[in-house]
Amino acid sequence: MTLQFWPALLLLPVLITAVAAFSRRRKNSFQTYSGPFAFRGGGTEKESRMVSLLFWLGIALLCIALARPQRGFERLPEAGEGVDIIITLDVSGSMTQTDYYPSRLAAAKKAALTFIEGRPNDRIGLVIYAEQPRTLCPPTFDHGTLERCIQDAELGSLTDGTAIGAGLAVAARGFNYSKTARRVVVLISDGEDTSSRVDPITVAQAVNTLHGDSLKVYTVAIGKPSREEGLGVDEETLTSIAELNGGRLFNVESPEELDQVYAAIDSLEASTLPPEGLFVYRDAYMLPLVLGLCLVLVSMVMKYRFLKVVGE
Amino acid sequence: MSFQHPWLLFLLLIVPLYLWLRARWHRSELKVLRMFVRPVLWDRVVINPPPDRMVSRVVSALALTLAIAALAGPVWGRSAAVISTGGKNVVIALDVSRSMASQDEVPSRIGRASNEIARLAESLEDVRTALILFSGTSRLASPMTLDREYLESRLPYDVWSNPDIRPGTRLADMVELMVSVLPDMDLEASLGIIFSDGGFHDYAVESAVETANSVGMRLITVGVGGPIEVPIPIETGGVLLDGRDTVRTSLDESSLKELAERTGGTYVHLSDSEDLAGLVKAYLESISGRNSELATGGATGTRRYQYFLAAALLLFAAAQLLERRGR
Repeated sequence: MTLQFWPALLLLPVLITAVAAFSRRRKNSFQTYSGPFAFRGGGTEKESRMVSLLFWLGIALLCIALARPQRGFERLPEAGEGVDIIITLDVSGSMTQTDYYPSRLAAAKKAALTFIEGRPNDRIGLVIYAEQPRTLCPPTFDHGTLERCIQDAELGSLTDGTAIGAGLAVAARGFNYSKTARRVVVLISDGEDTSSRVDPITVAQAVNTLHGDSLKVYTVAIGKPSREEGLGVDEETLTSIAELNGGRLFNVESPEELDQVYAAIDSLEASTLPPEGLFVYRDAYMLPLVLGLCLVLVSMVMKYRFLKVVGE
Repeated sequence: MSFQHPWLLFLLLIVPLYLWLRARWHRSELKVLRMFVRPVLWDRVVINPPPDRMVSRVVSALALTLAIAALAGPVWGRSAAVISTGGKNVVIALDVSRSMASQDEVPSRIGRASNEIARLAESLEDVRTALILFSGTSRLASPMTLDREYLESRLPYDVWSNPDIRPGTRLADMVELMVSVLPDMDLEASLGIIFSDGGFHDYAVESAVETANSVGMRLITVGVGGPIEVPIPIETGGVLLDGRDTVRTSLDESSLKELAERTGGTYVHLSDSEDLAGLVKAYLESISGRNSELATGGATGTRRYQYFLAAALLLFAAAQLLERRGR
């Protein structure tokens, strides 16, 4: 329950103070005389106080109604809301190297899990690739299932290899039913494309033609560049893929940097939806309004009816 | 301007009633006063402040009128913001028990059911759909997603491609998984669809109904197979045997019907399900309509009760002041 216009509650002390102040002034400016009207509003002092209490209690409830209490109903983002993200993870044999503790793959999974935790209102999916790509989880709000998929991501039944282009193509295909204007692929790789039938740059160009500005590709290079040792990551290709699709390449040389990369992507692709969730608010003023009005009415009737004029 | 609850305007009758009572009380007071004054002097008596307290009486009546008008929910204009009443979610459960390999449907019960699910998913645009495969255990094959292509890729066309699923047909676990997959939010329209040939081995219709009803999930059950007993083919060829006897299976509609009826859903047979998509859409629309009512309270415009209530509050306080000052 929330109050949409809480300052209305301040009206209560203002009204009480105003009435009290004017009442005191009246004592100074009027002279009472003997007669039946001296007993008007009579009854015992206790009863009189009760009537006053009922009146102000009613006014307090009306002030609460004026503050517009509302009840929130939670909902999920609609098809066109939020950001659709697909994490495309290299699970080739080289990702089991332990230069990142406990391994490149484990570090990448851990960073991905932290990233997901911070984006509860976005549809996120997971594609893994080695020699072939596979969609482990389509873009979904069911982040529990997605987390299980990330934890289970491994080479498994896939043949070893690195098909960056095929991974990107399958990831982009995951947006076929996406209605949102913001789609993001986070492509993680630690090697050179060795298995794609189509050149990754050509795939990146096709993705850009298909999705235009609505899809951005951020590439994350894990490990040392290939030009240094011949077996490392192909930074040049990853840079081209990212630049062709409005993204950029992140170079990661330690597990800590992976977290920073995700944080950077998080800020670059900030969700427009509140992290606490989406709510539709419904006014819930009727109850305080009805109760308040009843109490004021009762106090008005009691004042004249039950606290009778003496002698009637 | 219109009123959200116009019938509450009948309460305005309280206002003349109040004025009449105040007049009556005033006459009573004068009657008492007359006892203290000689009749010949009565016309010369000037009472200050006046006992009829006409100003406070009018102000009180005005305050009451405004408060009742506020209660009736005055509405005018339209809010610029579009009020979303949540999305639509369907969780489909497909029976992958051995009996679903029977060929009294073409190409088989499971093949026909999978084709029907694919057709259904294609027609449910903007509806999040999840897929559960169940027999002795239940497994989430596809999480809730708009990606119908992925969901279709997870559909099995034979019962032997799911080695991690144990034999049998357990209903209770499956319904619990269905409930856990659906978003737990007030405004999401959610529906469950079960494709099965019945014959639940855990006899758990009661607990399944309870689980579904606890979250308000309606179930549409789709019977797969026919009433005539048929043998069950096995992967290696031939049919399933129990000793020397051939194991036969037929559609058990009774539990599926009970499940649907007791959760506020419908039972349909696969052969009569040409318009299953239409039925599902109608259910989702009806749930969405209810959610819309829940979210908006039926208001179609911008509520303006605050203006009336604020004025009423000030007038009530003013009337209180005037009363104390004898006006």
